[in-house]
Amino acid sequence: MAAASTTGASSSSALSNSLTLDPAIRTWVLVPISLAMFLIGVIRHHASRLLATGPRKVELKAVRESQAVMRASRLRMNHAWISREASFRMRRAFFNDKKEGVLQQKVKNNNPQAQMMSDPSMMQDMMMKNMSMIIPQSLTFMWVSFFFSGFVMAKAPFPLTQKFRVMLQRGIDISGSLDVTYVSSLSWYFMNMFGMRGLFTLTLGEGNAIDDTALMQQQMEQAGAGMDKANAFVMERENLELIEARDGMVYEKAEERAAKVLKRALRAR
Amino acid sequence: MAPPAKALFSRNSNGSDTDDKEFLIPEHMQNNARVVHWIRQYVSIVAGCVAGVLGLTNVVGFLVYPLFQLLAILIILSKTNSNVDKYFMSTANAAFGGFFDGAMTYLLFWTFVYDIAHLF
Repeated sequence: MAAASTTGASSSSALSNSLTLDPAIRTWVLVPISLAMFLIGVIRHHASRLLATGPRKVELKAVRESQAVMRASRLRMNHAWISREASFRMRRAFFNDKKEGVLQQKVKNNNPQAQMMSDPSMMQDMMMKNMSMIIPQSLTFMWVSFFFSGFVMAKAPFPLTQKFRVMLQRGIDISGSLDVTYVSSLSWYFMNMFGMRGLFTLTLGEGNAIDDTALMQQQMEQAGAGMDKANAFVMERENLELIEARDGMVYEKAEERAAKVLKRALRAR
Repeated sequence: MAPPAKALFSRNSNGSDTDDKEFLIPEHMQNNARVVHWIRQYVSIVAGCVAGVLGLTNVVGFLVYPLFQLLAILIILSKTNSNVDKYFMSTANAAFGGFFDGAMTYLLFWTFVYDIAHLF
């Protein structure tokens, strides 16, 4: 375990291309760091699941409003599949009717910032999420930099330019004579941190706690959905009004399509 | 591990004719995208391990990754009966989306396995 990290470091730079590393470094540094980082990721995922509070309480009215927008947009997308006269007009009246239409109702716009202020559980939730992110990460960083600082422990199997020296040989002082492709323990930590995301999506499933980008996106979407309902109501209303003039139903061309399909089936035989 | 592409669902389009009205099922499309992502990451890891064990370096090593991604495209093609349009919104996205995400995974596993097998 007490292996000298670089046996060939004191020799001339000509030798630095073929550095001999102690196999103990592989068994006790390279593999453990990667393994530990993976396992910590798994623990973090499950811990954040435990810490997560259940779905946030939302007002009934707010849910109704956002569902109405969703239903209206679904009608807009798939309107061609239902009968124009009866089905579509009736559904549109349900949304757009001057007096009783769902999308004609007044909506109260509440912006997410004010919501956050009034609801402390939301703040707490976000705090928890951030904490479960930062604490294990900084702990791992401390662990690596405390026990393994100064180890040359990996070598990139491809050539790199001198620019990468700062990135890959963090924490080694013999730089200059050492080939750039050699990687220090601290840099290996960073490489693992970025490269393991794919592994985590495989093992923990999509949208796991490790995947920060997905989390951010989700939060953005949530905020966006709650943001401007009055505007969304007006938009959907207008979109529904526009539909009729523009295009007809799919089934108006049903015979043509049936003929086409049957012809193809005949030809195939 | 079950064969991932088993989870591919057809999007209920009206046959293969080029009518502009299609009936999309968002759940299925999401699932398909997830499966493709899964295949891509899996292939990247396998490619990294292969390149590492064989001890490939430099350009040869970099060639392995696109080769394996080509394999992934072939898998997708065979699972969709060469009818990729039916399963995805955009064919290009199904074929090449997440290429660089996979590259990160590939680099890590290549380096890791190469070091374990050949460096010490």
